[in-house]
Amino acid sequence: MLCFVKSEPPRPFSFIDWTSLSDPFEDARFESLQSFMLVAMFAHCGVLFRDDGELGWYARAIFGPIFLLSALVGLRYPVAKSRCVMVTLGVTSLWLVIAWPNFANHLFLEWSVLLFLTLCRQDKKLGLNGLRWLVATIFFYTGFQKFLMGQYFEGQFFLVRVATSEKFRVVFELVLPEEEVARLVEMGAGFGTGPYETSSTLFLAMSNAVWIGEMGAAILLLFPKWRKLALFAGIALVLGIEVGARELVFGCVFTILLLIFYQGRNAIALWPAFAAVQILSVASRLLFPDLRFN
Amino acid sequence: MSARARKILVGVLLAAYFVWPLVHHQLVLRYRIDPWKLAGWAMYTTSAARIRISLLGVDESGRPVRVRPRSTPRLQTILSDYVYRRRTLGLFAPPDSVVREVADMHPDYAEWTVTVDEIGLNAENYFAVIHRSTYRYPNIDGAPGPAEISYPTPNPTRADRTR
Repeated sequence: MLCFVKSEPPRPFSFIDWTSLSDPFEDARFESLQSFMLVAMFAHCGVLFRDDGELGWYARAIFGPIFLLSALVGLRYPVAKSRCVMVTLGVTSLWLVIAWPNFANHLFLEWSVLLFLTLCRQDKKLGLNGLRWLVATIFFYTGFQKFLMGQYFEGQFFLVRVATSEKFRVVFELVLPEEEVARLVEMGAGFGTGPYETSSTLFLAMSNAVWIGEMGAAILLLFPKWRKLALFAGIALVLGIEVGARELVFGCVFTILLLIFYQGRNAIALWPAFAAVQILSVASRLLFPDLRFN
Repeated sequence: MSARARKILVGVLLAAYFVWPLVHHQLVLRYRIDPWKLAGWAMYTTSAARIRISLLGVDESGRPVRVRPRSTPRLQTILSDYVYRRRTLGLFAPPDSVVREVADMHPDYAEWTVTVDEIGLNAENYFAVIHRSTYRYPNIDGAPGPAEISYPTPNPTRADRTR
């Protein structure tokens, strides 16, 4: 007896598929990412709740309620999740337009992820492959732009931060001589002050490791053989940056996006933990404005 | 949307995401837009730009007269809005709103000049004026005419120097 099995035609290979993972978890990854983004947008919007300006009003009256409703419906009813992501994309687009031209790159990244999730809701593999390219591109350029602007070679960028920001000072005073920290604080990035230079070799190594690490990890993420190492390095870099910058909402989004490269298991099934960190960091900002985690 | 059309669209989007940061970098160097903004992924590359504005008028006798930025609360508000916009958009944001207000305050001046200084780290790692743009508006029937703009760069940044 002849038996015909209907199978999907093989996908013609294209450069977008270069980043594909060969495991059966792509659908689960896509859906986890949808769930995470629904919560992440509400968390990000929460940062604006205490803002007195126009955006604060929009966040309290329009963005926040719609993001919250989309997240609740999307998480409760999986069949409605894609539509909820679509609604979230629409509201995020409005947010971008209202904030123009001062929107944060963080918001644009979230909008881009939502765009890919909406555009590729019927081809999840394509959506994830596109997102992997997007994440690698962004990660690469964060390093490349630092290289082009040249303020990491002699540690100038971080030295100015030490001079002006308590958050960065507590990290870098561990590797900078005490008298240099005192000199930087006294200068305070005022007009005519300088030079913002240091003799600490470890500080210079840390400063240059940032842009080299970002570019290197982004390139290595594209090669399956090096992907796990690049993923580890990438997440370590994000964690390191978060110690100084303390932008936890962004840190969680980017870590989740890096985890879509993890082969063999749906690593972003961990999304509720990251969403919880985001919600807690925003809640702490609203309740204790002096404790800035975002 | 067909699968092929979707794939082409994703490809076009990715190409745009790849090319835009290179364009953005040129806009930062040439038009002084804020590297932290406008999706060029150049946040944390330089200290946020600081903008300093000087206002000058030329009275009927041809004598330059300084206009204090804090002359009136309205001028102060307009200046503060402008500085916010200018920091992001750089040379794409001419100070027309500022000069209109100054012209309302001093309609008898022969011309009004707005100097916009960008303060940042220079090539020697000192905080200094790294870019200066000067806008000269002639008085045409009591209102500012088209601006004559000059961009001398007094103290280039490292990025400018290595360009």
